[in-house]
Amino acid sequence: MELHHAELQNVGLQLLAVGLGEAKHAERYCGKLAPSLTCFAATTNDPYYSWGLHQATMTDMRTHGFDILKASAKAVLNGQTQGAATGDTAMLTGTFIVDQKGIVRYAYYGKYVGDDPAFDVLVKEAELLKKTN
Amino acid sequence: MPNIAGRLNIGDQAPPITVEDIHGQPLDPAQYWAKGPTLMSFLRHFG
Repeated sequence: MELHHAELQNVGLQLLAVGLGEAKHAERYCGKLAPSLTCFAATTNDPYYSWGLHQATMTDMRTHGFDILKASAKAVLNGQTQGAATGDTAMLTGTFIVDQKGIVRYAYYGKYVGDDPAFDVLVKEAELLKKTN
Repeated sequence: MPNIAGRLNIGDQAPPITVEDIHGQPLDPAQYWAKGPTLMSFLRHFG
């Protein structure tokens, strides 16, 4: 998200990120790696569960093994490196666009570790939301 | 077993949650909705 923050913010999106860990981890992440995001720490998995997110299962891992390798390679090519992980590394990610009334306008549930929506899809969704409001 | 809610669909109300800001203060990100459309990303972890 940080890589494309300008495009995303240009279409009017606020960028919030929730990560599993403690406040100090959120501060470190946002301060050094993602200064364009407003970061929050989830000290338990409950906020994730509330939004329908869950940990990857062994079946998920087996089904998407090659996709996970591809996602890892892409991250490395983008210059991303893995530091000491916090929280629950099996938790799958989710990306949502929420409008000003708190209504979900876009929802993407990661199918495997490293599965994120294409940023141009997010830009299109935000543009659509802008036109309809 | 954790109590995992169903997946959110387009048109659903975003559920309230409590997280911590970088200073350790609890808050619900819902307070940001009114300021404008929001991209809410749940990361696997910080690191």
